[in-house]
Amino acid sequence: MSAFWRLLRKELRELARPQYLIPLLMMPLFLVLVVQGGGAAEEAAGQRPVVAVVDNDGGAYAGIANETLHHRANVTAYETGFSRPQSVDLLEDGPAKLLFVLPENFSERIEAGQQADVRIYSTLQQVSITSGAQSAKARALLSAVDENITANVTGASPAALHPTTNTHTTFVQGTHVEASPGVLSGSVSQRFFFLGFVMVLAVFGSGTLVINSMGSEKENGTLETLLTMPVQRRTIVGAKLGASAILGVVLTAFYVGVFYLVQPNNGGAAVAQLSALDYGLVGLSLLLAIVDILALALCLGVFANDSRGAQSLLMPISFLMMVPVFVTNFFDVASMALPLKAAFYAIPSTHPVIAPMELAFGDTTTVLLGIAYEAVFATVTIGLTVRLFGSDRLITGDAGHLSVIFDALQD
Amino acid sequence: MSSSSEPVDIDGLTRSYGDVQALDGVSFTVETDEIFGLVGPNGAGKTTTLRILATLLEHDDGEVSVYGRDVADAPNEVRAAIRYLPAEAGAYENMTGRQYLEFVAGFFADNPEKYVERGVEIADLGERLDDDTSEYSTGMTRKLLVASALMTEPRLAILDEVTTGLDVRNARRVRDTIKAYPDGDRGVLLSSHDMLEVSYLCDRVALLNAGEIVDVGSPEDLCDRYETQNLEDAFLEATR
Repeated sequence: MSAFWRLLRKELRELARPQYLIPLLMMPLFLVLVVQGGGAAEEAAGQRPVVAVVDNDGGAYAGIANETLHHRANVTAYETGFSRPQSVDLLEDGPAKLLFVLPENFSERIEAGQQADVRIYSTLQQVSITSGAQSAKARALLSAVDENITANVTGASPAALHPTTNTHTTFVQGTHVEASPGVLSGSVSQRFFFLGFVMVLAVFGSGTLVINSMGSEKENGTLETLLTMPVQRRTIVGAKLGASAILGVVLTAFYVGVFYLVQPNNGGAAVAQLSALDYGLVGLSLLLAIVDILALALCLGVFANDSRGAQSLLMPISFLMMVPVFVTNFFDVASMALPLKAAFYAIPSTHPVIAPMELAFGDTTTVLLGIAYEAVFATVTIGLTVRLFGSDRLITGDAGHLSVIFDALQD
Repeated sequence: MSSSSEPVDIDGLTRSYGDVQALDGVSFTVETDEIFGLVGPNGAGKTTTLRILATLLEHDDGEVSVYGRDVADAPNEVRAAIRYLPAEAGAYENMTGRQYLEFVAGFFADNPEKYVERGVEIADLGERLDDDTSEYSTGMTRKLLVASALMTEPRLAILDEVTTGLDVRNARRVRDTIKAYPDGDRGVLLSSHDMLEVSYLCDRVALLNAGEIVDVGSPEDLCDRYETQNLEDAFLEATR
């Protein structure tokens, strides 16, 4: 067995230790919770609302309102002449989550051309970000009631009530999509936000693995022995990078697998599906981003005092790696100032994150340029790593002018 | 120089860490069939010297060669000739003792079984050799590391505080192994705080203080030269 394979096997055995892998394998749990939570909220929003109705009016327009509510919702209780406490009891007894109370003068006010007040009561088990869905359901029901009453009062046809329809076309990156910016944004966000997040998690996980390995070598006193073996330093670097890249790819496959498992229908129809070639380019971009962060982490690992110090050194890089996911979803990159834009594109993890979106809109050139940049970044960083491994900085931990920063991070 | 040169030839070696002059013109040789000791207090420059010889540290000035190969110009050839055992070395915790020996031996031979067998013998860990090294005591780990350093029969064994962490019985056993190690083509360079150990093991000793060699000689010659009963007193006299 050659020295490289011997070292690669050793590195794989080192990196695949449960204490390193278990936290990384647990990470997708967070993703599952977020996606499942969002899915549950969406599912709840799409369901027929369960409501109770108290009709204290009994007039013609209250009848239209009742009819509309029965048509649009699952009415589990219908009462008349209830007091407020009695009405509220209806909600408390369940299963309705919404209660519509039509007051005594409901029809009379509408006949007089005045607005009639409908009292709505809601019940929540717990206040959360998904609670807004309930008020949206109430608004939709009331809107339907309004429409039916208006049609009855005015005799207007549905076309008269809604005299216009629209087809929204959005131009983006030189292509056009038959959807509004809102629909498009929702579709892109749904399809690419979590995918980007998953990819960045994989990049971060790989970096964590390799820097842990470096910290562990220093802490356990195995590094000096390893460096005096009759083997080229670049072979040692190659084995460390190779082993962590292998585990990084496995980790990525696991994360992406979990992603598709929890969100199989990822993305709306507004954006074109990616081809096999597109997926190949995204994969290549992701692989290069993993190599970039691994080489960077190995460079930083040279200056780590121990495992804890290694983690501290990786922390700023980890945050930086996360930036592209949030920038692409919450900011308009095209309108950012040039230095910010340059900084955004300089982060290696930016490119796999933006690649699916760029490819979906037909911008292959940006993706190819990104891949070229990542390849250059990898070449330079690996070269620097080999150079650092060939020097005695690995033993002295001397980072020159950067020592102040590295020491501060590890204190 | 040819490969039949001295195991170690150091001339005018200097090394500094920032403003601190760790080594200042250190010169000595280690001959074949010899155990050479570096003796000195903490910070004297012993470990720095050993690390430079082991190709781990670069030096600022001077000539340093192992069997005629310059450590800076031919580090891989030097590494092939040596085994270095650092003072605070450890073994990979997820390997058993036997796996660790096999891992190291594999770098020195395509069929390393012979080396591993010798390593098993030197380590003398019995059935514990098949336990993970994470379950080893400090002494057991040290015995394993000594075995891994000597089993491949390096032409030059560089041993830093070799018996650290060993109990009296095991320390004695390791010393006996080292004592028997040199032959016509092999040498040992070690450093130690333990003057008794150095006196027992070493054919010649360099007294190192504040980065400079104060004196070199056999333990007996040094004791005679400074008119002392033991090496410790000789060192104190020499560095007074």
